[in-house]
Amino acid sequence: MSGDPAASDPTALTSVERTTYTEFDRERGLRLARVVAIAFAGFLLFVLAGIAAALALRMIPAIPTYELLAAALAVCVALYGLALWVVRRRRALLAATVVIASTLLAIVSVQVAWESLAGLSALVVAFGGFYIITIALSGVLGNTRMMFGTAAVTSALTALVCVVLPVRLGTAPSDAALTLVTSAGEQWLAAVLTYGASTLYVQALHDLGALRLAVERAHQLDALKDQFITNVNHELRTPIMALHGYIKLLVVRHAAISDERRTALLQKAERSGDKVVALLTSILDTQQLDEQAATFTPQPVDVRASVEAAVQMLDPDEGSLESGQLVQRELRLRVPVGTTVLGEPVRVRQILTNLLSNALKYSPPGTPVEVAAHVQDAPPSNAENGATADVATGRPMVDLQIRDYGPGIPPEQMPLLFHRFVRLPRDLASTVPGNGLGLHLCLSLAEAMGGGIRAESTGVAGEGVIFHVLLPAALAPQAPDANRRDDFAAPMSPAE
Amino acid sequence: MGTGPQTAAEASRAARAVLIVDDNAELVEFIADTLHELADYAVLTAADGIEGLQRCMESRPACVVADVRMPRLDGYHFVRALRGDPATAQIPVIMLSALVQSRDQMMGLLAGADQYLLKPVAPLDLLAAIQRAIRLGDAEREERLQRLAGGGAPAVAEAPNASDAAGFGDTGAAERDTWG
Repeated sequence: MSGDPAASDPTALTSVERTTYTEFDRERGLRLARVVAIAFAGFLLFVLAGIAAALALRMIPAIPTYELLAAALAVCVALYGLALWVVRRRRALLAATVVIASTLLAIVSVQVAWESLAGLSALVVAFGGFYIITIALSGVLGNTRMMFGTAAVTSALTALVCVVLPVRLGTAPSDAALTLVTSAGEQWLAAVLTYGASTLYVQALHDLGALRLAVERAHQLDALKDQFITNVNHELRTPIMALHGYIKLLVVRHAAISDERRTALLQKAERSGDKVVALLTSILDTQQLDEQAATFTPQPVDVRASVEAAVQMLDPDEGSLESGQLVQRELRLRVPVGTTVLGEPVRVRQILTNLLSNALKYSPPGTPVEVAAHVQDAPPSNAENGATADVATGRPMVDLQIRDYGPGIPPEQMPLLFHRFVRLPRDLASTVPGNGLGLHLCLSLAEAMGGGIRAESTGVAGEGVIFHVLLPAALAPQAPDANRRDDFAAPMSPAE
Repeated sequence: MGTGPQTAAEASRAARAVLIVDDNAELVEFIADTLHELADYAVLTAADGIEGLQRCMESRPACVVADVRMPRLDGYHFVRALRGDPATAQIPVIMLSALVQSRDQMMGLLAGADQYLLKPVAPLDLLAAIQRAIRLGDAEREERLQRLAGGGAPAVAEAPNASDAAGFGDTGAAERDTWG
């Protein structure tokens, strides 16, 4: 569920890619079924027109056989029409089944009609060769099971046409048996060949796809690496300059400065060193989270308490200082009392701290930050933007929203948002510090708890961003006032 | 840090003042400490380009050390604005940035900065650069800018440790090799 299989095996498919592949395969089947249905229906209409013309010109006698044949073929045309409708409903396997059934009916109708006129003629046996087409078709349109099923049906139909009817009409049983064995043998040979060919073909397609994927990933990884190096380079240079610079100063001025001054400079060096370490730690954190699957016992976590704890943990250096002045920001907390999620308290708090810190960093001074939560019964099946985990269906989830009123995120940059080490083009051109790890970390944490995260923004300045964190709801044993919305606005000082 | 507008009484000191324009408080403090420990410069600070322009108008510092990425007005625009005003056009400017690509350096030098230093810079190197910038004559600055605008190519070679440091090159020589 959590973690990216791509991290270990470069050609392994992620769930999204697997869905894409399945969808691609279905699309291919649907298109082919449509083409086949239209082509065969057109051919049958041509044959029907031929029969009608022949009857009109009295080239063939007006006997019930031809009328019945025409009726059967008309049914086949109708069935192809039905197949087209099923294609529109995007039921690939059903469409394949209808197309193949219709084709089988058309073949057997012609065979039976001819046979009833002239017995088991060479023409009837030769026409049975068309069964092979239905077998190949079912292999291409459907799956292996459908193909061998079709082979079994064609064998049965061949037995009917080559043995049951002819013997009743007076053909020697030995001739009938020989015809059956030859025809059915051909059909099963075709089935096995189609199976082999399609298996190899599908395998080759997969290999090719995996190869392309690996190349694409390598390219992507390369670009990410470049960006990461640029980011970290930029973020590290300032604290390292201070750290190294203070040490240099102490070395140069060692003899000349007072103990008190030395201590002060050492403390500043230490503080800069801490920043370097903090940055490196946050890089390692994401690394570890990506590597290890979630191994923790979920426990109920109170959302309000987590938000309050997260506010306490905000880094005073982030977004709270402007020209040396501490800026108080308003926190609008709209979380019903008793809202509880199933998760791990530290991780929940870490997600909240990251998102609140982002909200502060990416919105102008004076604008409020909102935190809201509500329980939703049906989790959304797909994220419109960003990413979600494979949210367990049917389980009530808590939708935790963190909103700022900053510049928002341009829609075209949205897909980049949760990528590891990626900062948006917008941020690279700004002065807001960051290493491109925070949101990726939030995503990993939320997924590890069986939830997800996505962002919502119009990209219009002032409307800001809403981050939705979805976490499994803990079923509160008894919460008399759980529905009471306890709205209040509290001043939030990031520098506690 | 946080030195306010200079009063008339401090005008004479301003001739020996270095203005640090950077939104990173940690770095401003470090540069101030460096100048305090190694030299006798007064230190003025500003958190962004606009504040930096105000400080320059108020107190005509002997030299400006400016960051590139800053809120409101970035370093490139700050330098352009400074050079565009006859009252401040002659103030020596050193850009100090973590943007290390040669394109960034070119932009800084073309904007009118005298030097473009890459973070991290050792204290003695920074001091040497400031002293060199202060010594750089107006004519020389004009000529350099012309050369840059015309030839373009040797942008990086014009940066801090170039050989034009008449008499100052040695100040930071001992430090320089440590940064590679």
